Amino acid sequence: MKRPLFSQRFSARVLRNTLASSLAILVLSSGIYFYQQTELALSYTHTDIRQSMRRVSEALDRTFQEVKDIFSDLVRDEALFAFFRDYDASQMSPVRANSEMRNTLNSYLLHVDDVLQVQFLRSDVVIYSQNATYTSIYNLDNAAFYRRARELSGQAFWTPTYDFTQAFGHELLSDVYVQDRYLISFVGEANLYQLKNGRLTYLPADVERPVLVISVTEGYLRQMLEGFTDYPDAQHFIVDESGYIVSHSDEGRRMTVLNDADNALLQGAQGETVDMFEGEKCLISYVTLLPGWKLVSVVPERSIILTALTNIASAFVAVFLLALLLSVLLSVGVSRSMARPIRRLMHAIDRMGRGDFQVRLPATRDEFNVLMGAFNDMTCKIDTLIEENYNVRLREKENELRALRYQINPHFLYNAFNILHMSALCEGDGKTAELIILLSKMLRYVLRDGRDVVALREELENVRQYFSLMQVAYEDSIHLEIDAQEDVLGAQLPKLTLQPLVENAVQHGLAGYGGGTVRIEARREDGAVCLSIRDNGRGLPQDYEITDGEGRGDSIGIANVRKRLSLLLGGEARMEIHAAQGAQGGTEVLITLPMRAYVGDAQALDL
Amino acid sequence: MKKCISLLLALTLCLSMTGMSLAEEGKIFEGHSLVLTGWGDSAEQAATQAIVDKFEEDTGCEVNYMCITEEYDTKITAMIAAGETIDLAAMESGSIAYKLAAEGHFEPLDAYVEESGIDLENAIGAANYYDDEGNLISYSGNIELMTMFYSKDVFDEAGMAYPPSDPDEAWTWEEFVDVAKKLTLDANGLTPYDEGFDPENIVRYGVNMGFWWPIWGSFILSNGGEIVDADGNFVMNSAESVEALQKLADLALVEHCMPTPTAREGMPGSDVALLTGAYAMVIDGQWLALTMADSGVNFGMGALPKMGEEVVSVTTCGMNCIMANSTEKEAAWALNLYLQDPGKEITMFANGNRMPTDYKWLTEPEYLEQWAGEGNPARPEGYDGIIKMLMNNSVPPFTGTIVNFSDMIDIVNKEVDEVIYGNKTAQEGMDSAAEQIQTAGIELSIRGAN
Repeated sequence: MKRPLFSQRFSARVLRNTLASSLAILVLSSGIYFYQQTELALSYTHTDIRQSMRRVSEALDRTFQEVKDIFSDLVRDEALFAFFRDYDASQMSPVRANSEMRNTLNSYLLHVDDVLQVQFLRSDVVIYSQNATYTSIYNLDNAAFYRRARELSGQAFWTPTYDFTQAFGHELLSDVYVQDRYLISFVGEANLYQLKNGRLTYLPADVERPVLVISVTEGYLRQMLEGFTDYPDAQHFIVDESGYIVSHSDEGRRMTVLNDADNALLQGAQGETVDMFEGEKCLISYVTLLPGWKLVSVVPERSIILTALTNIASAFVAVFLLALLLSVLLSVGVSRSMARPIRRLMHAIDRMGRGDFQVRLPATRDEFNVLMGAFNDMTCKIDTLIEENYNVRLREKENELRALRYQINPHFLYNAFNILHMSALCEGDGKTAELIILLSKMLRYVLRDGRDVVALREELENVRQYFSLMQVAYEDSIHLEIDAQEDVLGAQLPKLTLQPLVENAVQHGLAGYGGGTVRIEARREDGAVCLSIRDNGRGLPQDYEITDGEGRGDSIGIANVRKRLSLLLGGEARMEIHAAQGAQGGTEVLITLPMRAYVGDAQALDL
Repeated sequence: MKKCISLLLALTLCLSMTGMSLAEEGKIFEGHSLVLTGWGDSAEQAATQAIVDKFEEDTGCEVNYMCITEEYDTKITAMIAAGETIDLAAMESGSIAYKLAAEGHFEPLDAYVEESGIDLENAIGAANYYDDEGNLISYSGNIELMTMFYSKDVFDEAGMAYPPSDPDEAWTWEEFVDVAKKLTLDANGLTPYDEGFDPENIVRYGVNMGFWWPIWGSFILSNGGEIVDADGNFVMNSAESVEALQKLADLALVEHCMPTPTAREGMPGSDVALLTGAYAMVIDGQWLALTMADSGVNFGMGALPKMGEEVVSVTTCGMNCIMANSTEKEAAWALNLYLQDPGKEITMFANGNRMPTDYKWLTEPEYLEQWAGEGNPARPEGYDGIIKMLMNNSVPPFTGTIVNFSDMIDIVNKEVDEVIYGNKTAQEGMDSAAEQIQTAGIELSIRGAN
């Protein structure tokens, strides 16, 4: 069954149609499912990003709030108040000052891990929890935030990411690896006060307020940013109002500036938009942190879709393949089950065409039963019809044969021949007596009752007898050759098939032509017998036509033979007349008939 | 066939079970758990964790290692006060340790040492601490001493010979000061020897040192002075001690080759300062070798200069104590042995952080090779001089030798600071310290023989 899908056969059409419709359903439902899943995944992704935003912003704000709390607590601290009020640089070295204040400062940082250092900066002394920025009274003024704190005088502010080596002017350290180089600080002039027993005391006016700097490493912030969920090519960063990037998940972008267009997208305190960011369509979510900076998450739409797709892709593919397999199997099953009765019908018709009218189709329980029943009826009727016609025709043939045979009759002729024979003998004409015997034999042969078929050897004998007679008339100018193989002698053929043909050959071929030879060949070829009657006489006239026996009297014999052949053997016998091949010319009659062995009664053989 | 297989399976099962039970018997501390506390940066923590893991693996004991990086003393005392379980704890000898010992918090370790077959004679004894009764309360396999680091690049640039590392060939104080001054440069490239040298604008200092008791203690002792004499008198105000202290202060105040305390505030750490050429030489603890090697400084290590006849280097060492109320003392001791043996984990010795106390690790080539071999960046050429200094010229830390040291040291530190700052002369400061100690009623003495 080559190319079962593409042939025009009914089963193929059924298969195609079933397959097409189930595929259409599959594709449609897959499409719907896929679309829904994508939507679901996208909304999940949005929720995921929102939750991450919330989580990270809360953690960051906790740290920022902590810093502010430490600031306000330090400003209230009694020991610090006393220290700054009384400190005299000429009396106490900075080392001593720091060792005195160490415990105080460290107590605020005991359970705080994210703050790097706390520093009090004053023109005469620097107090610190640890001096990670190498600050001394000599490099204070270098720092822009220190100067600003002095300007703002009491109002604390957040300084976004700066490099402390640059801020304090440590030129030598600009190229060297320095741990915790990048810091974010909460800075302000600390207006220290004491609140004791309801009495509020500020530092005396002539005492220089220290600038309090509480620093967090940028690395710590970046660590929080890296804790966002990861979508490929996503950016997470903290940016201040002017677009200065405080911290970025990509370390290289720290302290750069966002371009105006992108910064303009971050309108309001918080939001979520889908817009072009740095040339790509992204989901931008942002929220404002305590210092007034924005925590921004930028996820390219394509990576959201990609992630969403990836999530559902494998499941979807698996389901789709399964459904596809099922629909193919189903389609094949349907087409085969539908085509089966059709196929059976086709087989039956095929057999019937070959002549088997006994074929019947089994009954089914579905609509095909009608068709099968009708088919069965048809074959039944044909069978009957054939039977009747065949039998009728056969009888008709028989009658006709008998009628033809009865054209020639009576028994009295044998008597007449006896008399003639005696007479010839009495006259002393032996030759004539012989001829009379030949004629008698011939007549007996023709008029013999019984079957209308004889064995070939008998027919040939008859021909020899006839030819002997003829030779008398033609004074031996004509000759007969018979070439018949042993295995064909027993072949069955209608009586008086050859004699009329030989007669024709003599009368029309050899007579008046100066004589000649008639050659009879009998061969067996496969299941057929081939008889050839050839003469080397005149040959066929130009306008020779074979008729049914009506018309010119010359052709009666040939027509008769032909008719009888067809009556007895139908299409199985063939007769052909044509010019003989070869240089001698003449005419040849070829008869082909099926080989059947003559099975006759012994009496018939007795000539 | 089936019968054969089932028999084989049964046999295997039996064998494995016996195997398991045998293995369990081999793990001596199976089912036990310990609490270990300590301090240290990430490198130390990692190295300690590695030893702890090995110990857990070998003995089946569970160890909860708490590495407290900030405010160790505060947290430890809080834990002890709260009755939290601690089995093996690192202790700071100069602060809380002896106070805790006095309260009986530490398990005496003499018996453990003997049982383990440790020969204390064949190691640097300074690493071990004894309580007032003479009981061993801390056993260590590592020790630190004060040493000199210098920038080879600075010396090469100046075309000067490197400081000697062999203590027998150490510089005298005068030689040392001379070199330091020659290497000090102001913004105009002038040294303190030059006219117009500006002490307010120094860009490179010849030397820097931290001012705590192992440093000034080393020089006081080298000069022939003492902190506390054999009779328990505070004698830092004696002539030799005072001279030493003043000489140290004068490095900044007079010779201008060392940063003043105020200037030092704005200076980066020693490793970075050496790297950028802000310092030529640094005198500090041996452990700095790790940081030096890490930061890529081209450094060398030298013997301390001698103020008097001999080089003296005061050692320091953290204490490792087993808490008296621990229920896992045997396991804790076993863990301590693991932590103290360079053979168990050599990382912290090889990377420059520590020196071993056991003589075989300090003298035998096959052992030396493992932590101080040639090509080890933390052990520059001449390091054998440092080892020699440890073996011949080192003294035990005052924290272990002076009773009530922690009471005295606050007063002394304040006065030393004043001296360094230039507010007082060394004599004034030390006299004041002596007076304060007297007033405070602090009783000092030398603790047992060591």
